[in-house]
Amino acid sequence: MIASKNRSYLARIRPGWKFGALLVLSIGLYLINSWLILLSIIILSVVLLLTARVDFKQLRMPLLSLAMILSVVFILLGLQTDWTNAVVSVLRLLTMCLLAYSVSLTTSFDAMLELFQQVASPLRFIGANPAQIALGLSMTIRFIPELKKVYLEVREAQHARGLGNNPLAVSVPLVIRSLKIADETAEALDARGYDSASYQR
Amino acid sequence: MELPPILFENVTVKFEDRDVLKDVCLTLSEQRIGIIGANGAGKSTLSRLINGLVLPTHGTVHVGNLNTHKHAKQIRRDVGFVFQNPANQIIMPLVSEDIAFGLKNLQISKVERQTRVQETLAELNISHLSDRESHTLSGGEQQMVALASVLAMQPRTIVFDEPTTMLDLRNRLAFQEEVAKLAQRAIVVTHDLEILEDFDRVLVVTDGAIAFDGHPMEAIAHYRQWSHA
Amino acid sequence: MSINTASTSQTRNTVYVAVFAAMIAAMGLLPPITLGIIPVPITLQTLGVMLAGALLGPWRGALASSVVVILSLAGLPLLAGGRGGLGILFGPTGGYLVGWIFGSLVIGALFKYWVLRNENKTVRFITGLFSVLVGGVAVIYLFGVPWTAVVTGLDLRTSLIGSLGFLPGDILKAVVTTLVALTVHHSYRGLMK
Repeated sequence: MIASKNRSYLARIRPGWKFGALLVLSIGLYLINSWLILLSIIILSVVLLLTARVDFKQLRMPLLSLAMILSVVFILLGLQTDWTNAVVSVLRLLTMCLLAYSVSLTTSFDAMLELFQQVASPLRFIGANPAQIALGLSMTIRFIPELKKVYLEVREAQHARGLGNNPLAVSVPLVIRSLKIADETAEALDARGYDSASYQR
Repeated sequence: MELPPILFENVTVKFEDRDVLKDVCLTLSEQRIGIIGANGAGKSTLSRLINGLVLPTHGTVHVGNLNTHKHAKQIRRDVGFVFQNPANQIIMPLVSEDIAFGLKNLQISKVERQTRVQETLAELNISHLSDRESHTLSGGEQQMVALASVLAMQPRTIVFDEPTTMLDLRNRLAFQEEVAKLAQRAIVVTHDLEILEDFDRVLVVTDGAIAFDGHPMEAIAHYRQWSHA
Repeated sequence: MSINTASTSQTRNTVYVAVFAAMIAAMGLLPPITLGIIPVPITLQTLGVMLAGALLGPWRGALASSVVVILSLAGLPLLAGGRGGLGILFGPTGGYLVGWIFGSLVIGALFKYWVLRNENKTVRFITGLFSVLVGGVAVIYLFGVPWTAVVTGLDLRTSLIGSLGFLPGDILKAVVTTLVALTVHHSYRGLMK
């Protein structure tokens, strides 16, 4: 899991504020067209990340693929428009990603979920039950490793028949088994007296 | 513990023109009741009639004064159910969360909830599993956790539908030991004939009807004979 | 067994959404599949998203995709390649994630109200494939491509051309989705009521 262990000053800021700031900053970035200003913002972001003692190991892969994308974007933009514009766009994109990661890497998973639930609470008015949503999310997390096992088993079984790389041969058993798991789990949930209408957190 | 009797009155269950169970009349009040029979004979359906997971097409099932047609939810608070597949009964990522799940609806404090969870785990000698992630458990461990989740709700009756069929021998024996120790009434559908020796009553289900109803050893003998025919 | 079960549909719906979301996540967690015909290995993850719509219908399908998106943005490394976090949303591929949700919605609606109303197998396949291509490919690209353009500063045309590289793989996934969905619907009558 990304993000769980950070204890810096950034981690102590409420996720709502961080996310809001991120949104505002991202929109603001589009109003800036000076590469100098953008460069300073990037340097500030990196300083931010460093002082927040962010786990840079986790950033290695995403930054690598980002670097590849940025190079392509840079060349294309430079050829299509002009090089200043290319520099500005690339710096802007890089800043947004760095800021977004600084939020991701300093906010625990549970805090993020709580933020999403807060954001989604207006949905209460169209009948969504927040406790049910929380249960749904927990159940998904519960079953991800389980279904990963099923997927592996199915792929191995099909591999033995020479069909390991056939998406159709792998998908059908995976789906059927997933549906069976869902049916049995729903029955167990019912047997435990689960009543979605009156379920409270 | 005072146990509400379970009453089947002329219960017929039809599924796609087939009679899965035909005209079953039963009064279940013993402490340990076994249900055996060939696959597809109707054992699982019989067990599911008790807590309303299956409703009769004709006839009624009562647990005490409660009718499964109308009061299934209430019945399920007093009648727990343990299923055959250990994995598909656990719904939360952590063991302690799963056991606490049913307790959330009761009006008890968080501290009390936690206490009950730990007590239940201790009863089954699986306190060491409390902080484990559900998917890392073995089949035997999962089945014990499933039992714990049911016990935490403090039902007076627990129905088991082939709880050990998917377990290896060692886990099968461990599970049987725990069931034997239960203070609750246990109604067990099983292929494991050995555990039935100390039971009070065993039903043999054949082709949708109760072919034999009585003493465990006789029931097993009847079933064996029928299986060889 | 579902003989006369009093199993509430609400419970079933919640569980179906959760298990399918978990399946979509699981599909992104294992190494991609290498096929002979296409040079790039494909992950089944987008296939899972399209199947969610085709098998669960518009609302449950869209919810399943939403769950995967929410959990990924919250930090779980569920996206193909073990990626996750808010950076994805603010990066070039963010639009595709949003597109997943609407893609499942559209595919689900088309399957529920059109494709499955036909009994003829060939008609089902043709309408089904069309629905998946519209909902699975067109809708997802509709969200993905403009987002890429806005975020990178490239114009729409370049962004579109850039994404065309994935098109052969996605079309193949659409065909597989249709076949899988129709196969499953055949054995699981009443999956989408």
